[in-house]
Amino acid sequence: MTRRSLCLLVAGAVLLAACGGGREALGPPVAAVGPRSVYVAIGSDEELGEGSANALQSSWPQVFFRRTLPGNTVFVNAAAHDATVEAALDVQLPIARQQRPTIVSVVLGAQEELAGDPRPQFTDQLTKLLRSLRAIDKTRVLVGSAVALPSLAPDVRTARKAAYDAAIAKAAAATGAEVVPLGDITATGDQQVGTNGRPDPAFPIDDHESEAVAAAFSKAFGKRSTPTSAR
Amino acid sequence: MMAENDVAPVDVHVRGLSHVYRTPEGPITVIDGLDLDVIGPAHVAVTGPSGAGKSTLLAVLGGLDRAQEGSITVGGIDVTSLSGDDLARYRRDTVGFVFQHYGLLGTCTALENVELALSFTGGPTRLRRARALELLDAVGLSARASHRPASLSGGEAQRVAVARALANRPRLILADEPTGNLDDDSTERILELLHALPRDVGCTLITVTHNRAVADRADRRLQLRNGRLVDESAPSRKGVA
Amino acid sequence: MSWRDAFALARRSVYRRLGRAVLTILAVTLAAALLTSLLVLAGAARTRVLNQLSKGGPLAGIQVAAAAPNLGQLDRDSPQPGPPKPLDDVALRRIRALRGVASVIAVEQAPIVVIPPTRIPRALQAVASRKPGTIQTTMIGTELQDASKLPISIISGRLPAPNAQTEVAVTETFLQRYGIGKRDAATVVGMQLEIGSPRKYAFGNVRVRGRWTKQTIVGVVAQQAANGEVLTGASSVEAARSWTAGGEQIGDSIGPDSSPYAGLFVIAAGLDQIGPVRSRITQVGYSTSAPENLINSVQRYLHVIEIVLSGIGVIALVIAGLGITNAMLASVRERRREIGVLKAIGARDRDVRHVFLLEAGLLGLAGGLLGTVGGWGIARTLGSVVNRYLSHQGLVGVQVGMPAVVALGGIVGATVLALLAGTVPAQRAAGLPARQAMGDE
Repeated sequence: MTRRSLCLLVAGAVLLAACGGGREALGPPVAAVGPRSVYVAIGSDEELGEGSANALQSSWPQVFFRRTLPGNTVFVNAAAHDATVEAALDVQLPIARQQRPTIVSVVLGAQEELAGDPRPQFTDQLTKLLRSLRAIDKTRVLVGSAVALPSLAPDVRTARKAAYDAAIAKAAAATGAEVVPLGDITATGDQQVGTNGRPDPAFPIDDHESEAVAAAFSKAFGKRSTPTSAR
Repeated sequence: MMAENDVAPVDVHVRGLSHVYRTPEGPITVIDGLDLDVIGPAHVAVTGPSGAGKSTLLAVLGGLDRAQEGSITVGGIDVTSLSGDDLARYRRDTVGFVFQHYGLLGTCTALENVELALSFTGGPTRLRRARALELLDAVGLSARASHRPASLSGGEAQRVAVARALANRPRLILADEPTGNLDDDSTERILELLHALPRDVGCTLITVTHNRAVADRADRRLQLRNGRLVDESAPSRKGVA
Repeated sequence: MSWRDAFALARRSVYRRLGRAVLTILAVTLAAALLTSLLVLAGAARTRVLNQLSKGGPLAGIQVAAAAPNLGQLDRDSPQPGPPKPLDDVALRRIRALRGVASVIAVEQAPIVVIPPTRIPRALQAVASRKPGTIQTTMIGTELQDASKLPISIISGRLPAPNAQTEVAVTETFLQRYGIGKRDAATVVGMQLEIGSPRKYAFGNVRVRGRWTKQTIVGVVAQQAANGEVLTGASSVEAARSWTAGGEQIGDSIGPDSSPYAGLFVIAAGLDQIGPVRSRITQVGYSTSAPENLINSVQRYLHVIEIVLSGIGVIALVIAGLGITNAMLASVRERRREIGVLKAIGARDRDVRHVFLLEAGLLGLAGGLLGTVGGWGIARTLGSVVNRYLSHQGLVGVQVGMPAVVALGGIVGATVLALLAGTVPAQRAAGLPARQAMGDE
């Protein structure tokens, strides 16, 4: 009886112990905790991925955040549709201030560029915006240059771009912001695929162009972005 | 040998004592209306053939067995009326037994065997030990105090038994064939020791034996015949019935 | 005769018949060892089963939902909660102050959007049957240093470090998004997710603005703390909640939750306190759930198993006890003259009885002591065999511990049983006529 009961007991214990079994492993090492870097993207439709089939994943700030910024970065996309510099001052600057960013990207001016040559207010407001951002915590501000808008007539397009480039460069120079050249990027994104049902973004860029913008900002940030296949 | 005469003499009175053993073959009467009077201190020997009832008489006198009929008074104590703890107390305080087989506990040393008898009366261990050593010394065995019965000779073992019998200062010593297992030298030594007890200690000694020589040492010799005692000795100073 | 003298005499008797004593003690030892080891292993298995029932959390855990109680289902382990009701700090304090509450752990949650990596690890690729797109789910946060008190058990990897900002654990539901199960849980560990907290704002249509972090999956867990696929520290969830709460309340799909806490995990002061504490929380006005009835039922079954195992051990002890009785009766038969001599020199019946009872008790005590130590050894040996098997299977082992009550029960039980077994021989010895001293039969 004794041996029989011992056998039964061992079998029972094994059964009971096995019935719910959790695997236990050490798992990855604990990540080091340090001060977080905070990135805020200020901009318009292109920052929201307008023109991409998968705007949430493929917007260029998301790609820049994913590829270039440190692992402990918090990223807030403050961009708004059809945003002008004036609108950004009203809506996006307060969000940025609230987040106390360590780095800010600013890509604005497409709406103004569509409307005409840069007016003095554009430069003033942009300067004010960049200065305000810089003042938060000596924040590093990367400001994108003007782009050639496909919806403009070819003869107007280049001159208009050059005028805005100059205005942006002036504001950047006045505030210590760094200009990121985006001149080679042409907006060819599908204008009918804008997010949230807006079919007419000013600067619709597709996934390929998002990659290019992100790469330009990565380069400016001091770190070359890795090719798509690396992810 | 026993220097102190330290107990009060005891008288033994037996009246109409009868004892019957029931056997498959029928009842056997070993004691039949026996009367006995012993005035202590005295040494009385009871003889008789084997199966005559000598040991039964001793057992009944010592409270090891209950009398079936008759009365026994020892030192004023009505033994036949005792039972349970009272009987145990009577055996402990009034009677000392010496057996043919010595009755020593093999797991105890000579000293512990003597002490054992004292353990039933209580008292401090230190005093018990001193008394046991004193008794062993009195029987000439202080040097063998730490020996176990197995390493003692028959004579030595019986002397330890005598020392143990005397431990609680009994007034009546009952010896059942005390030399039955001993050689001549040891027999002589034990007889000397026992015989001196009534004189030295003041107790009454009743020895049961079928050995004539042993019986001759007694003050008085009784023979158990047909369940009754017949006095075979000439009247003497002691133990006159 | 004093107990001390009786004990000395009993001890000498045991030594005198050492061979028989050793065999008798051995029988008691084996029986006590069997009883002890059975109880120890039953206890270990019981702990394991109950741990599984409580999903690694404490058995006396009660979940409090951010909802009013459903009065029709109060007697259920997992009742359907009533209408939502905010769980705030006031409620937390009131519940914490209730009688029978040992501790309260708050569980927070936040709505999130998860962007899984476009390229998944090769190991996951090999087993995954599908690949999720953007995921809308809930992130659960709690003070992870208290995780051991919560109904959370680790399937693979580990829990996020309590203060880490970039670590999360995911649940089995997350695994299902890749079409994999618990067996392949390790394949997602180390993967990096982008987790965004939505904030609503109105701009013509409803828009959502995200606050994103990169989070590494450090473990896969089974958890019942709250509904959600992602588990992390309280501070990460607070930050996410705070971002979402800064938005506008538009519709009810994604938006700031009105309840600061998703739920509470209340630990009662004991299993018997679960019922009363649940009633008190109901009176405070919140819905509770606890595996109260389940654990009670399982405990009843486990109790039956323990009774059966104890029965086996007790039968063995009774057999050993009968062995003691037999050995002691033989001893009485052999020592009739010795008993007679003891009586002849003044021993009372009870003195003789005491000596024999103590002798039996000594045998039982020695057997009980050796048996308890032996049983502990047997249980440990069997435990290590079982654990080797379990670890070979990749499962968590059982803890084989010797409860004081089992150790004490083994020793005292064996001694008491031996005393009982010695009663008949002791009585027989005490009843022997003193005449036996004369050597008569």
